[in-house]
Amino acid sequence: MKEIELDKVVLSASLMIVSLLASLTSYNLQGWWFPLISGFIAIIGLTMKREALIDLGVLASSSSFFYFIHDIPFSYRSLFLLLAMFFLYFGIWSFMRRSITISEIEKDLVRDEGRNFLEEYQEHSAMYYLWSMLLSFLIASIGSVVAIYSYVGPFPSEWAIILFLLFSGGVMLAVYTVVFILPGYFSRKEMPDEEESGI
Amino acid sequence: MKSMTSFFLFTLTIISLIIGIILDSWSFLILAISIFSILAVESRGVLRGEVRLKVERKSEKMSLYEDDEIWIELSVKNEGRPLNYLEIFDSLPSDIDIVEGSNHQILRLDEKEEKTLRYKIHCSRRGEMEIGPIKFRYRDPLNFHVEEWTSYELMNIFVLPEVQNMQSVDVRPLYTKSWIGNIKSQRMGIGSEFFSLREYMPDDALKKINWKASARFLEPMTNEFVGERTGDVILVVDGYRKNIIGDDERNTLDATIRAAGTLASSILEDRNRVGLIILGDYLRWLYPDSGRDHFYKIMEELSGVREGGHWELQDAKWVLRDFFPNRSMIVFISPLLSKEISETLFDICMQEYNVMVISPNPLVIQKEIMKDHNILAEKLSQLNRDVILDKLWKYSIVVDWDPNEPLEASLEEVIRYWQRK
Repeated sequence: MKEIELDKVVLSASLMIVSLLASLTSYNLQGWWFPLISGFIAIIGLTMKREALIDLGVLASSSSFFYFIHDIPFSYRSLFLLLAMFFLYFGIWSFMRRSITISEIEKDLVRDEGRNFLEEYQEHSAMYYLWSMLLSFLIASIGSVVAIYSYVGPFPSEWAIILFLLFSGGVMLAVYTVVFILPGYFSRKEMPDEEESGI
Repeated sequence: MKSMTSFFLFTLTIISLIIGIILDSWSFLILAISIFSILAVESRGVLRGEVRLKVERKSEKMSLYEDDEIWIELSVKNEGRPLNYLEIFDSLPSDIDIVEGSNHQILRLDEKEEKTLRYKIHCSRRGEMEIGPIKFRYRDPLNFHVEEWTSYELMNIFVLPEVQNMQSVDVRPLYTKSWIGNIKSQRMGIGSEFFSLREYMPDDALKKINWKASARFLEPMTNEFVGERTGDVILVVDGYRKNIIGDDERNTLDATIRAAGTLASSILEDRNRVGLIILGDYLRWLYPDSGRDHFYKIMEELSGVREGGHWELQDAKWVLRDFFPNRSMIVFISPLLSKEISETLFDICMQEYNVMVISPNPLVIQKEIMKDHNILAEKLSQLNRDVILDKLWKYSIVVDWDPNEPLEASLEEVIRYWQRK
């Protein structure tokens, strides 16, 4: 079996499991089957290589799940469930889109010359996706905690609001520095030339 | 440039935020934050700097013959930020086929990294082919950010018409000029064939002394040789639209051009001078000259010939009269479909020109193209053609050439017949 076909099987199974979880979460509610059906539409889209069907299926399945749990009481467990489900949906959706892109590239590569580039792209893009999702999850967690504090917590005075604003701004600045500025700084840092350093 | 995906996610962020506020639900607000965090992370690629690429295209040669193949090399050096998904498409004309490799590639380029793409092309039709421009498309793996641009790095390749091998036939002008060549003239000069004997002169080289004749005449005698000279041959290519029969793949114009290329090669090899007049989309000409460079000039001119509707064979008369040397050999290459041609040729033959007519047979090409053809019409056309050829035979050498056969065979037969006559 080709790697790309294995990708499709794994992705379809993952989406069905996530959709099933979403349905189970809302089993007592009317329309509990909706996430499952939507997930199935996305799988059809993956088989038929139609991006629009994948987008529609994943969007419908995830938004129905989020609608079912919109009145869930706040707790850190609920927050984790929410973030985990969102990133699962997002991960499956992006890998499905990647699979379609790769099959489109393969279709153009009639000859074998471009296959090395494609394999390189396959490997790199998978790592890139995982790394992007990890970073996004980190930022989303910090942002959510900050937002939840501002939304749930009572503010005793105006001073507290100002302090909160300063704190959340500081957190976002720290996140921005760590994620965007520092990696670029380290990658650009080079040893000085012999002439420049005067050796 | 942001892609539709990022726009789609941004819209979702706003919708989640609005729903969260309307339903007073913290979970939708979290959703909005999560989507926004993905957008923020994905923007890091753009923040790293601009895309800067240095592109260079190379080829092993800039001209090739029909049905030949060449490698094209495309070097891409990344002088900007790292690129994870770079699509490259090198535009090619429709007449060019790719034999190996691909002109469409996907690359991953780190900073300062250089990669080379190679592909082999097959050129089936003559002409000046423009390779390029190169189209680039960069998108990040999640397809949030897309950039498209074009590099106008162009390369022109001349696909020269096919040249047939002509070893057994020499097309030699009747009148020679003063330069040393391979044609035996009517005068004494430098050559290898014995002409006559004369009395020894003090400046004569010793190797020229005929010792046997000297012994017989009891005084030194010197050999004289037949002078070998060059001549001028002017090729006239008929690209008049009305005289062209056939489709894109097989037509009388291509056959005419192949014959001209073959003759130019053969005549120049004999150290003669060759001139060229093209009656096509433009009236173009090259003054007679010799040598390898001149051969390539002729081939480049021939490769670019397109059919035209303004210049007929009779227009060649004034060009010949005003710009080209007298007493040259004129080789007309034409399918002879126009009635006025024979009259024009008679006029030229009346002047001091030695004329040869090579006519690619249009009926052969037409028969190949048409599945059902009218036999009566074919016979009438053949009769008409025979009349024109017979008329021309009185004044010139006429070669009725079947374009499916080598030109050498048809020429050899006719030249032998002419020499016997």
